[in-house]
Amino acid sequence: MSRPKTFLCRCEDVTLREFREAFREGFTELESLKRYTGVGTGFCQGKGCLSEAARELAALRGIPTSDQKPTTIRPPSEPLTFGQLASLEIPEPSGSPTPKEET
Amino acid sequence: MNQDNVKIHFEGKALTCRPGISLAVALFEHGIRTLSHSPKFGHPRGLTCARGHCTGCLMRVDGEPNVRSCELQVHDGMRVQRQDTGASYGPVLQKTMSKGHRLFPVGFYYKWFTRPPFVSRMFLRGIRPLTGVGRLPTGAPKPIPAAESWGMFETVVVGAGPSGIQAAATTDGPVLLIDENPAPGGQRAPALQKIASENASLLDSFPSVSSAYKHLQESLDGLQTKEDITFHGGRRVIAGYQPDGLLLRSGNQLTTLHCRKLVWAAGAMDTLGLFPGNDTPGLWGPRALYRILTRDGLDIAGAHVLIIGSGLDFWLSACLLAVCGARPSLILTDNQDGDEVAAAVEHKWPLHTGLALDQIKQTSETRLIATFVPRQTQTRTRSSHLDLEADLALICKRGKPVYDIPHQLGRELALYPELGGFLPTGAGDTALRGILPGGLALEILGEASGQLPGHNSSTRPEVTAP
Repeated sequence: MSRPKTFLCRCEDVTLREFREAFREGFTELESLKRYTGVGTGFCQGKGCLSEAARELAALRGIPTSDQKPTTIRPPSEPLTFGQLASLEIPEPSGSPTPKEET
Repeated sequence: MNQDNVKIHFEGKALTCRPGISLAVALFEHGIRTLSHSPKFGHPRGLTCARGHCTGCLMRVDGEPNVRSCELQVHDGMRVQRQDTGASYGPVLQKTMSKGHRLFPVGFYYKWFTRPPFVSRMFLRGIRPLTGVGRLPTGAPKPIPAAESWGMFETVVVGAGPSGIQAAATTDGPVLLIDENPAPGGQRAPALQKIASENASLLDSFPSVSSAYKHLQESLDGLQTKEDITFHGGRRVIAGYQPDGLLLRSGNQLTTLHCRKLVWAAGAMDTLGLFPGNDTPGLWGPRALYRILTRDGLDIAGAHVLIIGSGLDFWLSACLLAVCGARPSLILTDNQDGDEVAAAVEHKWPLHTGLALDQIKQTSETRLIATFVPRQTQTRTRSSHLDLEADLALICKRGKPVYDIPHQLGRELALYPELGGFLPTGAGDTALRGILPGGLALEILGEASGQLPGHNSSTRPEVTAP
């Protein structure tokens, strides 16, 4: 009887087995594993899988979990459409000179 | 037929739905659980988090791809498709590619085809629809409301669960209280209130559930005692911009605001865990269940539901399902809930102990089968395994605290698996507070700090704005 797959990251369809294989291939940091396997780069931006991936990695490396830092979590935390982004007013960067008027 | 019912079109079929429910739940009631297929392996995926975080329910609605069908209410004449519809060879292609292990060591990856430009064009026209990430939108774009700017606030509390309410009520001066749910009280509130109003005696027989209800009532009373709290529901904080900016979303409406002090008390997310078949449609966490049964009012009468796990959400889910007329079967993975076990036995709910979940498999569109093994061995020897077939399965584990926005604002995180995931460094205290590099006073409370409900009730926020 075949066993179903265990998914580490559902958005990018990364199985636990793929993650472990990538570790054996030499990707031993969470950042490089994220780039190679796609873990945490999908729709949920790692909300669903990053801590599971980090925990698995700590076990694979044999290090305490408290030493495991997350990858950089950049805003926004969920996908926005270009239309939504265009609806935002872009504030002036603080301290920047006022833009010259077009002539 | 009810006059108010709405008719939607799903892949050539006309379906009649109750008004006011989400599209994903409407399809679920018609026995359609597979709302999408996963991008690499073509696995069926369905309604999972019910709060717009995951990919399970992304569909094409009225010509627009990647719509969260769990958040969108049905309306008359709605046209709905799966994003990979018509591409029956898509999943086959994906499987073939993922089997070609030497050539494609990590399987088929739809982001490969973006360079050079001619491959990108090929991708947009041919490969993109096949892989299920949706075709580009057709028709006139929907108008998007201009983003609002709410300006500067002295104190903003994110999360209107018991912890957030308590923080808001005990802070001096005006407070802006934000939550993604429409009403204050937190994710468990609608479930607790439904049980209390429909079967209060059930509530009384489960001490953990009744104490959570009491705590909720006290919090909501506390909210009444302070006048200058402004509550905004239905809004989720989706980004934090240093030093002090927050971005909120409600549907297509974006809102920006700034704050001098931020109390982060956002509730936890469901954790399903790592086991074979953890992507099966019909497998939910308790928070998704509360939303689906109370917000959408899914008709679940007579359904057989496996509840796997332990703790408050385990018993609360069982009570809610019983109130809704479902048949709960309990698989208790921890033996510490003595009074609750006695109450479950009294209610004649089937109860199994000493088991560990081995795997879950879909047997048809609307049924699944869960396999358990004795907890002591937890090995794959199937000599003593137990198979339970059901309509739904729930995994009730400690929730995962939401940490992303505090991190974006500059707070360091570390992994605390015993508290549910990544938390601000120094977690384990009842409240975590500090001044961020940009000068923002940040305090992290409640489930967001890995504490279970009621555990932070003795502390009063003490951070003063710089």
